[in-house]
Amino acid sequence: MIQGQVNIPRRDPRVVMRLKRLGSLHQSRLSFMRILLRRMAAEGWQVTRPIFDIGANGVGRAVYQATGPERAYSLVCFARDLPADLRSDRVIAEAWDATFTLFDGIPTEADLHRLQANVPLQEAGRVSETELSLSRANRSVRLWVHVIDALAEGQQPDPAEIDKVGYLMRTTAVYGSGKFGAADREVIADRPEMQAPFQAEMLSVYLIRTFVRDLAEHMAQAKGRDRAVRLDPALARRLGIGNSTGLGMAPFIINHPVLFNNWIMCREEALARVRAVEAPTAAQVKVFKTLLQKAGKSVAGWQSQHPIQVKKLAELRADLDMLATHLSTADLSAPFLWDALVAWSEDALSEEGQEVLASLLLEPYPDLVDGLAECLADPVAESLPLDGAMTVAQLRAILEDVYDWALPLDWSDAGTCARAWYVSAEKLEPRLGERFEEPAEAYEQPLAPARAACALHAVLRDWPNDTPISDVLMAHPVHRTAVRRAQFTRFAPYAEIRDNTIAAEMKPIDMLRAKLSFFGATRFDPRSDRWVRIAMYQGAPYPEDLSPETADLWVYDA
Amino acid sequence: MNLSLNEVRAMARKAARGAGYDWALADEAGWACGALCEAGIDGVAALAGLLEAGGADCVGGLEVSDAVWRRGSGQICPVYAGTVLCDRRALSARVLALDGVVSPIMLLPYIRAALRGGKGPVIVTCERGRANIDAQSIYIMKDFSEVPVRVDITATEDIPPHRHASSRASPDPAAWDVLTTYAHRTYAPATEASRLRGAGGDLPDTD
Repeated sequence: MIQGQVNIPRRDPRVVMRLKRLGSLHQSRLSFMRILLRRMAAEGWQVTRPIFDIGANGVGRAVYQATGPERAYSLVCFARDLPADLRSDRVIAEAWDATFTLFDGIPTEADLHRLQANVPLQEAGRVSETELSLSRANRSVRLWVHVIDALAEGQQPDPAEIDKVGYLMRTTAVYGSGKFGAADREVIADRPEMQAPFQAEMLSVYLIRTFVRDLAEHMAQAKGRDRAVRLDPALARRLGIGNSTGLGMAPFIINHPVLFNNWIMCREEALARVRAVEAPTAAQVKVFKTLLQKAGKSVAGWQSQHPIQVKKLAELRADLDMLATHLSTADLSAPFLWDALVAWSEDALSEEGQEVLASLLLEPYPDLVDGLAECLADPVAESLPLDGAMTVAQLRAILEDVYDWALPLDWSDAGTCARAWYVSAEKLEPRLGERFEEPAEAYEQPLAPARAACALHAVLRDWPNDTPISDVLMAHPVHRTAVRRAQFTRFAPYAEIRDNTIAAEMKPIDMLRAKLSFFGATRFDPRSDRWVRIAMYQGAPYPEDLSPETADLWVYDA
Repeated sequence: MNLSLNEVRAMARKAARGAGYDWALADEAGWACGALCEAGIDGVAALAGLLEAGGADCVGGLEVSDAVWRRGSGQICPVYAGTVLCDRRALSARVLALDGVVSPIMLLPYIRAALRGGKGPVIVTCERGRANIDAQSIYIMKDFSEVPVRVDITATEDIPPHRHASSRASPDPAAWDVLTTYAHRTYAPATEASRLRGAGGDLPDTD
């Protein structure tokens, strides 16, 4: 390809780091599940099923083994026959249709025995350093029954029913990173296949999807015997694994500012590189147009009942139509076509449309984009020392730059500090409270960095400009976190959300969507302003069909 | 007991908050606790001792103008003092002492961190306790007690033995229970109203 001489800068954090835009992000080439499948295909990973001890009633255990060039990982699955009244997606649930762990290696019978005693209990059990993830899933009852009944009768299920839901089971948590005794990320972070973020979790979900398909076929077979058929592979591909996500995920992008910066910065860098391409080839334009068309078809199938999302989907569909129309009349040989498209989109399209365009623009350029996957992780784990020698004046300048939007706010105003994030004693479920309507304030979690930054800014007024910040912190250690966060922005411009995370009108799903889009999720379906359903791996090849030809653009075939 | 370091840090942070530290110093307590465990030292026991001894009341007002740091006539929280030590890059070749440090073992990860960037090893001594520390290692030669003491930090030629970082923690179960109890103070009591409005969806999610 030909790259232009012009330097297109990355987009301004003031534009990108708004909650409304973060809540409009879409999957892209840099999404974690796509990175995983590209690697597995390129390296020829093999998935086998050494154990499948499941009874006719769907109760039992299974092991799926993924073997790469250097090591193997095993998803250990426990399935049960859950009474309907026990089924809940919330953190406070105590039983699930299926529970899972990703074992680091190949489990012995003793391992399986130990895991049998703990994994179905989830948070109430313990796992160990040989376990990399802990997860659970519940059936989509409606679709489950439909699919099994159809297959048992020798029929394929109705594609329309499949598309309505998009999955047979949905995970309600996928824990990694040392939780409940699992291995810390540090244990695996140096392995090439685990270097990109959340690869253990993405591998877990990929194998769960295979198990779920196998389980459905198995139960249909048990029910229908000779009449039963297997699920048509094309229909099987349309099934992703759903996920039900709530407030537990929202604090992540606040609590890991450098990591989140890296994700955003890599995507923005990729976008800037593509915009700098002076003369796209005909082949590259064709890839873009083809995928734009497929994206339009996919989005037409996204369903939601929630008013927020109904409106967003209508806007997105309109945007995609407008984009297609604009493209059909544009001069495709004009220099810097992509940059011109982005510029046009900033006036013509909603944030969702702009972000779908941004994601689509990356697709024809694996050579410019895919290498950035190595920059997504945060190897220093935010353990950099605080720079105590920075002066009050220097710190003030940073605060006035990053929090220019926040400093004029009155933080005692009821609308400005309306919310308080807290953790309930009830199974430690994260919740969002209304500060003036319930006793949440006494338990408030530190999830309002803008308010903290403003408090710090106010304190600095009492100190001479050339005072080292170490003096201020010696007197007021409460501001350490705010100072650290401000200092991160010197090298992590996208570390801070430029919106008030405790405002009356704040929507936690915007935070959830940002992280989920980097996982590679599609079909965002909010159930409230703080609860969202998604699909993962919808359209993806199953392990037996995974190859470099099928590993990459499957997300557009959903 | 076998815990991941992440679990230890998360619990330590919540426990410190529950014991009265602000969230910023609670973060620091979590870090220090995890760093001790990584060095093969029971950071959970050290933190439990600090919290029980009222470390949260020993924050602020450190006097650092001469070679012996004090906090008026009061005791010094090691987490707070450790952050000051690092912020000020106070460990140069000269001797440094801190008078009245509660649970001084919590200071050791900060001393190690402060030696990064080419500073030589030090010996840390107090009435009950002795450690040899460089930028990589904390080597305890004589067990530290929790009683508030004067801590002396002096340069040494001795390099502590280097060991692989631990990836797990095996704390004293009673100390872990202490942290759990403090951490529980940060959880809001469960109520029906909280359960209904605080999380979950407006639309059914069991379909």
